[in-house]
Amino acid sequence: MTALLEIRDLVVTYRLGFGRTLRAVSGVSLQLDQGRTLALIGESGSGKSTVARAVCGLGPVESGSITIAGTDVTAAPDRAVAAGKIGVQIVFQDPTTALDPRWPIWRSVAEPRGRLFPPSPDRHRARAVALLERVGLDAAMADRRASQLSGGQRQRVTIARALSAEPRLIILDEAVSALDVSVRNEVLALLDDLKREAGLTYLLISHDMGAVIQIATDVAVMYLGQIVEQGPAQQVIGAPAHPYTQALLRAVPSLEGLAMPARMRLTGEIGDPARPPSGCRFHPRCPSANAHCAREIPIARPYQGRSVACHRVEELA
Amino acid sequence: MTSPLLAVRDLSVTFRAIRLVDSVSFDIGRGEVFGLVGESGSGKTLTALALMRLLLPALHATGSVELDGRNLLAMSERELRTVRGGQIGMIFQEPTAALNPVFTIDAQIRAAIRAHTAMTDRQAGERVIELLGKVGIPDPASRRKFYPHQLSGGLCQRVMIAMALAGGARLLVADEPTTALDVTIQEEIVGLIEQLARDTGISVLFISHDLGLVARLCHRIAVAYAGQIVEIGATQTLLRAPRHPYTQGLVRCVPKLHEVGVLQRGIPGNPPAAGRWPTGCRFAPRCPQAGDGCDEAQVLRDEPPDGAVRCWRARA
Repeated sequence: MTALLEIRDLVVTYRLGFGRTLRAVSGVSLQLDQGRTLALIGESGSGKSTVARAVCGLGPVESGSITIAGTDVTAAPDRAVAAGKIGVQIVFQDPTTALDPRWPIWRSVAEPRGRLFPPSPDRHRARAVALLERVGLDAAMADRRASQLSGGQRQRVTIARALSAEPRLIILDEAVSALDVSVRNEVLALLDDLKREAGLTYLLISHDMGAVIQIATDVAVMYLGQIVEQGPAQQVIGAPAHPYTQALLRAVPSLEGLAMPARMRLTGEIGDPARPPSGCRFHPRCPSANAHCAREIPIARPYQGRSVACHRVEELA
Repeated sequence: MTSPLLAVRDLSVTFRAIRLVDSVSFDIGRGEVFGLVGESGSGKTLTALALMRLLLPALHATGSVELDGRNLLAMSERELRTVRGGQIGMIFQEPTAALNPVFTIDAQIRAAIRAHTAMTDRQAGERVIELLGKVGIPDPASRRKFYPHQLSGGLCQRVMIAMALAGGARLLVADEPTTALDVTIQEEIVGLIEQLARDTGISVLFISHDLGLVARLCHRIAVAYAGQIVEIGATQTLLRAPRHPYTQGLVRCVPKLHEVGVLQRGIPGNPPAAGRWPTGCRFAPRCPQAGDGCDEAQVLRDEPPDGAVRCWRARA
C-alpha cells in the first residue's frame, strides 16, 4: 500500500505582529494510505485545522514536507493550485457560507471543474445535476438557491462540489459538526458510500467524536501542535493509551459514559501555543505527570499497535 | 408530593397564524435538573424565551408558566423585572458574545447584583468574589478585574453562570451552554451545573440538541420535535426503553465508544422547517414505523409511572 498523503516534520508558524510568533504546528508527521479515513482530533488550539489547511495549500508552511500522491507540494509556487490539480478538495463546516447565495446550486457544483479542467460549458450543468443526484438530492433542486435548502441538503451540495473536481483526497474540516444529529448520520453514510464507489481517501478534522467513531479507520490525537497518539481507530478509540486521549474520550457524552460515574475529569485548559510548557506539553493537565514529564520531551514510540508520545505509558497501563 | 417550582401548561408560541411551539407542558421540581432535547427548529429555544417573556414582539405566547404559583405570562413588566435575572437566571450558547467586551467582569456581575439586591459597594464586591469562587474561577479576587477577552470560553461561561446566580436565582435556564466549547470544557461546565444543583438546590432547565450530554446531568428529559413534546421520561427509562420512534432514533445517534467503525443509522429525511408542520403525526414522514393511523394528529398521553409519549403505536 502506498501513502496518498505523507506529512514529514511539518512546522507552521503564524506571525502575530509586533515580532511575536505562534507555532501552531511543531513537527507533525502523518501518513494516510489510499482508501483510509484519518481523523485528526484534539481541542481547539491543538493545531488540527492548521494541518488541514497546510495540506490543501490554504495556510503557511515554515518547514517540513507535504507529499501528495508522490508529489511534494511544499515546493510548488502556488500550493493551493498544486494540491487542487493532484486531487485535493476540502469541505468546510458551514455550508451556508461556503455556497454563493446568488447562484443556483448546480453552478456552485460545476465551478471547481471549470477552473481545474478545460471548459466545456454545455456539459457542466448535466454533470452537476448527475453529481447532485449522486449525493442524494433531487435533480429538480438544481436550480434552487442555497437559501431554499436545509442545512443537511446544503452540506450534500458542498460534497457534490468537492466530487466535481474528481478528487482523490477530500479534507472534511468539521464537515458534519454543524448538522443536527439525526441528519449527521445520513451524511456520514453518504460519505462512506462515496468513498467505496469513487475510491476516495478522507482526512477528517473533527471535534465530533460521534462522527469520528463511525467513519475513521485511523486516528491521530493532537495537543498543542504535536501528535500525542496515532494508530488504527480500533486501538486508539477502543483502548486509548495516552492520558490525553483517555481524558478526551471520557469527556464524550456517550452511552457508555452514563454507566461510568467515577470518570476522570481533566482539569485546566489547553495552554497557550505561543508559550508551550516544558517537557511533555500535556504535563500541567495530566493526572499522572511527574517531575520527569516536566523536564523531558517525550518521543513518539510504538506501543500496542499504535504510536504514543508519553514517558509513562507502560507503567500506566 | 411538594408542588413543582416551575409549571408550564399548554404553552404555545405563535407567529401570525403559525404555531411554532404547540401546547408544551412540563413541570420542574425543586432542585431538579430537567432536560429539553430537540434539533434546530423544534421550538426548544422559543420555549425558553417564552417562559421568561423574552420573545420578539411579533411572537405571541399563550398558556401559563407558573413559578411558585405565580403566572409569569400574566405579570406586569415591572413585576417581571424581579423575576428575570432575579428568580430566574439564564445562560446562553456564546458566553463571549453575551458579555460586554468593554467592562470588567467585576462591573458586569456587580450590575446584576445591584439590579436585584440592596448592597453597599463593599458588600457587592465581596459577593462578586464569592460568586466567582462558587463557579470555580481560580483566584477570584484578582480575576474579577479581567475583561472578557482575557478569559477563555470556558471561564467566560463560568462568569455567565456567576452572573445568572447573582440575583439569587432559584431556576437556571441554560440554553445550549456548552455547544461552543470543547468536550473537555463542556464536561467541566456540566459538572459545575450538576454540583450547583446538588449543593444549592437550584432547579435547572437544560436545553440542548445533544441527548448524550443531557442524559449526563438531567434527572428527567423532554424530547421536542416539530414544536411539540413527543416524549417525557426519567433519564434512565428514556435511554433504556425509548418509546417514541424519534427518541429511539436520537438514542441510536448517541456515540457508542465500543462500536468503532460501525455506521449508526440516522433518521431519514430532514426535520420540517419551523411552522411547516406535516398534518397528522408530525414525525410520520420520517418514521420507519409509520402506517395506518399515523395520519391523525397525536396526543401526548401519560405513561405510568412518570412518563408521557405522543405516539399511538408506542402505547399499542
